[in-house]
Amino acid sequence: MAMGLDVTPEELGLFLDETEEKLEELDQGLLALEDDRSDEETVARLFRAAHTIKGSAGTVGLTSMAELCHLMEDVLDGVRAGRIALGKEDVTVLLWGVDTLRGITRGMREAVEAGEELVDDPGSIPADLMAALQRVAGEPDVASPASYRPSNTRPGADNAGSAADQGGEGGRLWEVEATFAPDAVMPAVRALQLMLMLEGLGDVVRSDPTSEEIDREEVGGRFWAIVRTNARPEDIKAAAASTPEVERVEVRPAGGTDDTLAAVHEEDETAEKAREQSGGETAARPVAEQSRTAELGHTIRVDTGILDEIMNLVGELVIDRNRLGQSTATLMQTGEHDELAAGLNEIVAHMARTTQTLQEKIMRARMMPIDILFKKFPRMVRDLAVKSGKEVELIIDGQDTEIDRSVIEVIGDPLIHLIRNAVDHGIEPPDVRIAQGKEPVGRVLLRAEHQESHIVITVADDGQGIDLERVRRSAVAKGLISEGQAALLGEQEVLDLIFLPGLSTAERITEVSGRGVGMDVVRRNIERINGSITVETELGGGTACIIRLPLSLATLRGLLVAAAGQLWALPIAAITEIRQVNAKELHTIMGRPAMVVRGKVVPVWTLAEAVGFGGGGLAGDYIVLCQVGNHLVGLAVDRLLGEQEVVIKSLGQYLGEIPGLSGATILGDGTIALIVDIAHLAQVLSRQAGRRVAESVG
Amino acid sequence: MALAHYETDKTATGPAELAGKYVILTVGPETYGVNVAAVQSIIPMSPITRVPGTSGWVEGVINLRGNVIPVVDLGRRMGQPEAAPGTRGRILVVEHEKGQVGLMVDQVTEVQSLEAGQIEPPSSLVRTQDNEFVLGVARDGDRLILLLDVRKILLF
Repeated sequence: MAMGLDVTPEELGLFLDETEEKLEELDQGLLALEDDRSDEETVARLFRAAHTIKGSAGTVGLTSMAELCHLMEDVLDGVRAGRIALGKEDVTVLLWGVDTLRGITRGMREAVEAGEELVDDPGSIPADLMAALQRVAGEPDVASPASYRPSNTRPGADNAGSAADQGGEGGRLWEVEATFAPDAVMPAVRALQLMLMLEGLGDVVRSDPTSEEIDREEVGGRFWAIVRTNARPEDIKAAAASTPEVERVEVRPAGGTDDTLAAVHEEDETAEKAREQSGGETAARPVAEQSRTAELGHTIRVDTGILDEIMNLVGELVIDRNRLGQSTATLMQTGEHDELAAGLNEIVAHMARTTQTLQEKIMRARMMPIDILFKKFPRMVRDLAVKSGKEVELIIDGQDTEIDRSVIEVIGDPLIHLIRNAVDHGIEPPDVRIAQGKEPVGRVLLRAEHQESHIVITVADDGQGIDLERVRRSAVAKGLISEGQAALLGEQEVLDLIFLPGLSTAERITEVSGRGVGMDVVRRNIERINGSITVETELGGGTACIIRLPLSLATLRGLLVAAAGQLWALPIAAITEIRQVNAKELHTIMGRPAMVVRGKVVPVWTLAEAVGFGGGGLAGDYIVLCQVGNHLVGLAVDRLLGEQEVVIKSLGQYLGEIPGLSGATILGDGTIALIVDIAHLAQVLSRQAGRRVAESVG
Repeated sequence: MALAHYETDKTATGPAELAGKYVILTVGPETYGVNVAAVQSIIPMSPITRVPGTSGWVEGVINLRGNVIPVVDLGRRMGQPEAAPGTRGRILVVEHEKGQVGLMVDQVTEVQSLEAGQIEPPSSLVRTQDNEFVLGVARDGDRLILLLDVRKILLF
């Protein structure tokens, strides 16, 4: 008999949020249990999670849900007390229970959205599941429990170990002390450089001299700071020591009797203890631990809509700051009102620094650890492996790496696809692997790390690699390229083919990976956010997909140029070189203007032609050389207007997606400059130019 | 405060439904009327940045108080020949479900109330190719005002 629930929307919202969190914990804990990576603390946590859901469900009136949790709780209690030994099938049953619970919460959310009445539906719990759980719960312990053993020892190092260096949430505290050379000419500048460098690595908690003192140039012979960072001390020291006029650098773990420091240090110690108890750093460490230490009063929940609005407002401020700077510059040029102009200039300069900092802080606020994406993969990989009869170990590295929320939203689906590919097409079945002298358990690596101003995400496997010959043949067979063209392709170009729509070399189209429509969409999605993806492979050894993404989707360092009577912004990251047009350097090759750059032939287009404004020939004074992956093209423009950080504005949904453009920006004087999607252009254009261009000119 | 959206998906819109306040404007030789409910603002002509890859009557984008919005030449959309540069003097900013869009027109003459008695169905007086965008024709003194379906105009 179904009964309506008597619960307020707020209570329901809280219940669903909390339950979903607990279900995540259950997922991760159960996986750890299965792989022998768990211990008493994990089991206790699993039990508590089930217990919590049971209690809340009961309070809300979801009796069936509570009954299911009760059975799961019984099983976990038995495990905790050593009465029950869990085999792989038993864990699968528990996971089935988790999935059922998740299905119920999802159903409730949908019902709320549809405005339907909420009821407790006993039919949502399969009778088979209850029966299976009862069986497991009734299992007595047997003489030698084969599959489950709580352990307090550190598991074998199965990842690079760099995650172990990461320290507590947000990094560790280091004390940095640097001395300037006695004859240093510009200590204030050096102090500022050190400050900026440390801010780039993390958070400067305290410093002497302070930022304000550095601004006022009140700097002595010594620089001292406490910084919280994930960076390694050797790296901090090297970066500091590379600053000119800096003589001695020391980096020590921060400790101290200062109250603030002690409190922060305490938080680190609690995090350390929690980690030690759970058996140290493991590859797919439960996130719940991290969020609990964070809850020690240092974080609050913020509606992401509010962050988006703040981000927009900051963008507006940046535009206004640029405009103000422009007006002030104009005023200064008139030569009148000198004092007023100078005063304004100072205010604008200060505003620029403040908005810069504000921008950075907001960016940081919008960032979250990529773990929020990564944590769902261990379960996905496990299920895929079980379905395909393979043994796969997922190694996760860098889950603390923070990336912008909007980037996280876009990169989720591509990662799912790449990981599915790795398990489905990459990793071989255990007997095949053994025959090749490999370990029967295949490994898939999922890693995220910061590199300069980019995030690099790697999905790699040690499976069979990509057979380039098959790709070549498949492309010809599908009519995507001709035999003649296929013969001329270099290795990188063949790898490029896998991104063409309609190409899939899997002999069986599995339900898991789909019909080969994936990779082109993956690349399109990544390029749409100014990212790039490259593939490396070794036949028999494995494949690695490397995704590079900019840290922010909101702004961009761009080169402003004039072409076709209007202004454009070219992302600096894609530009390798700028040259002045020299008629002697230009040749016509296969009907296309081209020039030779360090032995490679580079086709050249006017920017107008490249983006689709038509026109041919070659006009313009400068050629901007752009490189994306292996594709190098030249874009001829009329004028160069300098480098600027621009706020990316969407062209709007009404115009739809325009190939070759990734948005627009409003410059200081109100003019619009269109932002060129060089990644897309470079590939399209260079493919058009044909592959029969000689790679080197004697 | 959001302006009410102007709904014109009724195929049979008789004179009675069409009566109301209209922004009267000229484009080329024609005089058009757009229901005030559909118009967010009227701004002077603004420098247009052309955008490649857009269809014929999208002229490009303009900077509207810090936002990038597309602009459509109303004359071209209505099938008129291309206008000489400088002819279009005003932009009507209208709200579309996909954001704001600007309509380029020559001049905006006034806002006027039109009554049911002044309005007739379009078929009799108007060239057939324009019929899909014209909801009705209003007689005002000795001029004819073609009442436009903004939503249809923006749909392509």
